[in-house]
Amino acid sequence: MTDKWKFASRVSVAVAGFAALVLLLNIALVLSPGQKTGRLVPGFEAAPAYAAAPEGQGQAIFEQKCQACHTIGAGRAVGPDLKGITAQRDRKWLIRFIVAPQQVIAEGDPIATQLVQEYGLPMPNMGLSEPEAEDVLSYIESQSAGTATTPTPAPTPTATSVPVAAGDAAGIGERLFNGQTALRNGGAACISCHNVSGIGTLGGGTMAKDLSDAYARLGEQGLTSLLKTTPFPIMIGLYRERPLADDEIAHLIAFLRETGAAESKPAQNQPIFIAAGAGGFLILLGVFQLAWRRRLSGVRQPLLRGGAR
Amino acid sequence: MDVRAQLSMVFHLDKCIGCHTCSLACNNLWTSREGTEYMWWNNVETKPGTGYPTLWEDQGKYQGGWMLKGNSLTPRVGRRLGLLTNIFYNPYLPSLDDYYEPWTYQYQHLFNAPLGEDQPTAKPLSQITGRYLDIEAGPNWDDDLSGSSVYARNDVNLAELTPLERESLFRLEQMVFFYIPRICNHCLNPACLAVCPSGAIYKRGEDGIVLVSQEKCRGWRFCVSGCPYKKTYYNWKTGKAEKCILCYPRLETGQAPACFHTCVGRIRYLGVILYDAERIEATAKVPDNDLVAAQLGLILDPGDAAVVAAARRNGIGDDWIAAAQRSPVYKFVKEWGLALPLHAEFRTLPMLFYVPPLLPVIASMRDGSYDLAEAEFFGRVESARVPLKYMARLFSAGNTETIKRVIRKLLAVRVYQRAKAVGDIAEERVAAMMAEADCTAEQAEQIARLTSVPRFDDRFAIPPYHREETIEQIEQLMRHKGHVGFDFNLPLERGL
Repeated sequence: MTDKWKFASRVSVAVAGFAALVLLLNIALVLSPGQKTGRLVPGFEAAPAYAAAPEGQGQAIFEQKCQACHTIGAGRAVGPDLKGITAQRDRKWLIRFIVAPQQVIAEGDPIATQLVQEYGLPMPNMGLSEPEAEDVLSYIESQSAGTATTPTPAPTPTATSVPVAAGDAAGIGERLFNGQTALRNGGAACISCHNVSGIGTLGGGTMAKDLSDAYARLGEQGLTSLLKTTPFPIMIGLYRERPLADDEIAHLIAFLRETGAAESKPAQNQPIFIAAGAGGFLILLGVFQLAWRRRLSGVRQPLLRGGAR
Repeated sequence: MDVRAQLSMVFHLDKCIGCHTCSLACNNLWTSREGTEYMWWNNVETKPGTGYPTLWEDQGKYQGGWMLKGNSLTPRVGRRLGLLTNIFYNPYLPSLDDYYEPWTYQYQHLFNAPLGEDQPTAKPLSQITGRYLDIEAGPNWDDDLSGSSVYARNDVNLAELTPLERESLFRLEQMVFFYIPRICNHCLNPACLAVCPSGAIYKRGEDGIVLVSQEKCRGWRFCVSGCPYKKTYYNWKTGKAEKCILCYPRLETGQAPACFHTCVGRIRYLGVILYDAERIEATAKVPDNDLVAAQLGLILDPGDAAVVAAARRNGIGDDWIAAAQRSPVYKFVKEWGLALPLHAEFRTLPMLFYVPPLLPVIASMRDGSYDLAEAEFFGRVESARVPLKYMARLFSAGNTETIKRVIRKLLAVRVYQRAKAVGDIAEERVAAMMAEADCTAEQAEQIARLTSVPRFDDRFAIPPYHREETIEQIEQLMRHKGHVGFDFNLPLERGL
């Protein structure tokens, strides 16, 4: 009996220790501030390997790198409408901001800070050099002048090209989001890095921004262009080779719209999380108590009760 | 030959009357402090019985002592890795209930009780909680009550008896019991020492006394599990382990330990023996049946010139060798072969030996008269009320031949003395018994003398320690002058 007992007790102590560790870790994760700020990976500056735009080809650069979030005269998307931006802001500031937006934000520049607050996310470093920024600005300048007659073609087709989501679009989107259905081109499921309220007790990843209010923040058009181009540094690496399909985008957006409407508070599942952890811990304690109910009985009491040795 | 000296002991159980004077002397001297209320470094048990703490002999529960795994000797509670994995929760400890909840009495009530109809009484108070207590266990519970259905019937050593033997042992007219006083055995192969994670336990070089360093002990309590005799205790006040120290401060000043000194039955003998430390491991690995013989084989003849020379080489002084030569323990254990270790099968090589008791022979009631099964005065070995198998379990690791030889000799000496003093036993009968027991008349005289009328110096052959001279080279002798305390020596606080 004794060897088995010894072994069982050691294993159980190890399991209990592990369970306690997991619980503590969970609580620490839930309470850590990192999740709420939803920051991008700080200090990420590596320039993605783009095919170099020909010198002076501002349009090509814009379409490749800016169009996902910005329009020229077609209204606000993920980021601000850039029509007439060259008239609005100091050109030097603009170039600096385009080349290294993260640094400008980090320096606490008042305009940049206000923009981040207004749009809810900072502009990522796009890896543009100063001459390239000049090209882009020239292109924007030229377009700003002409948009009255020719509207920017960029965002509108993307919005219309997405097929209208079918009845259970949100359900399909949810399965896509949490990886139950694999993305067709082999991209990673959103849940790996993103959380969304109501996705289950354990929630999604805490690496990137909580997407519970993504629809409210970015709108249909913003989300569509974002998911099509995935312009953020990490997402570029993940999705450039394995882009999301148009119908997948539509389903995901439908899902985000629905969760955004259902839950106004993004951090809703945290108390459940702690409660689940504590509950699991108590259940484990109960199991141990059951397994070792004789551990404190001693030797004399069983004799008194008339039990045989 | 690696000769070392050990202060060894013999308890003559035929002479023990179970008065507990030894326990009280020890308690008054050493364990009347806070945190030690439940401890009895010396205790007296009634056999058959479960002892103190309850069922201490049941190593299936307490995992004390050593076990033989193949050819390697392993502490039952575990080797280093096993100890480490259990270090924060040692499951093999007696609970306070298995010792007993110590109590005192509300004596003040006898003086302060308000005027009333009845005499005031002193109710028992728990020394642990301070609340009133229903006393239901003690270190000598069921004392003299060998027929008790709880404690005596659960004696571990009864396991090998047949149900019939067991039943007859507890029938009222056959009820039998004897006492075993127990102190630390100061073993040659101490399991408490082997399992201590802090390395706090050590065996003194000069006399083999096993001690717990109060400075190194970290209170892991593995010694409590490791000692198969449950003779190390945990002090809940200091958070350290404590055990019998064989009154070494008394020994070092030439006095016998308190329990030896106060014993009213004069059952205790103390003396130096010389043993061969080289063979300890091999001896502890011998199969159960030969274990006692092997252990006694470790003890060397202090009269042998080769042994004396080897002892001198090892730095044992001439006065210690002389003490070993007049040691009553050597006589009882080796010369006469009358004393055996308690539970040698725990393989700790205990250095406390017991002369087993001679117990009444089987008898029965017939037609209203008490009918002895034996016609002879002291009966025969085989007809003792306590089966030999039981005695063998206690004193000879299950080997009935060993215990039979000892009891036969004890009987022969008795018969010899009776024939001499009263003369009502036939000479041929005496001669036959003496021959069977391999005992000469001269030896019988010596045994009778050391058993019944020994003087103080016969019982205790305490060697001169020269302790001060030995330690003044490494210790500041006056460091603790004026200090008090058993665990931590501190200056005495005086005045207001």
